Amino acid sequence: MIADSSFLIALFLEQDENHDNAIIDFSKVITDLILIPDRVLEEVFTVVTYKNGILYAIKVLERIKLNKRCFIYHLNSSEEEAIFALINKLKIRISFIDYCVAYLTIIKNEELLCYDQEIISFKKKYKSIV
Amino acid sequence: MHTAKVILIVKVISLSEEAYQILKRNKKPSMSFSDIVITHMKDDISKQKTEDINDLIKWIRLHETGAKKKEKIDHDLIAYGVKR
Repeated sequence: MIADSSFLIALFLEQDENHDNAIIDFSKVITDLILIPDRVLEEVFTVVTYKNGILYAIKVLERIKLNKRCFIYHLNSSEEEAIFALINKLKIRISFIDYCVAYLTIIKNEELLCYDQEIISFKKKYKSIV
Repeated sequence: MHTAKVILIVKVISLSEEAYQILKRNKKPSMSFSDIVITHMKDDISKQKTEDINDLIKWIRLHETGAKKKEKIDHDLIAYGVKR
């Protein structure tokens, strides 16, 4: 499973409109491993810090670190090249992190924990042209 | 006024592409990725990871303030200063 920032932010920020959904979806993860791309973690850290403060954001990182199901996934150089190739091919107006998440879920055929309609529709578009 | 300088160091367990491929290769249909981690990476990771899904949910619930007002958080605006 790949976790997108929309899911993680909803999970950790009570005020997010998808907070309750995130708790429910997270509780359904029984045996899977949740991969968090490093760039997603950076975005989550930034948003959580600005919304709920640096001390809470640090605690969030600690909880992710301690959790048996959560692993930070580092993109290597060949994957970055593949993402650039994907960007050049599709030329869709979404962020680089969104491309990363979509790439990982498509190429690695992992399930996606996400509430971002742009990424969800991106996956559908990608599958329709490949 | 007293000020205190606090240095906080956060280590994050990481999984490289190579490690991920090892997991993929060793994964049997009946096994979860976590089973693979426990089987093949054993102490290195499991010693440092002590909490499960329910522990994290409890922790999140503990930090809830009961705020009723929900909002659509614009991640891009906060992270990059631009709207989509």
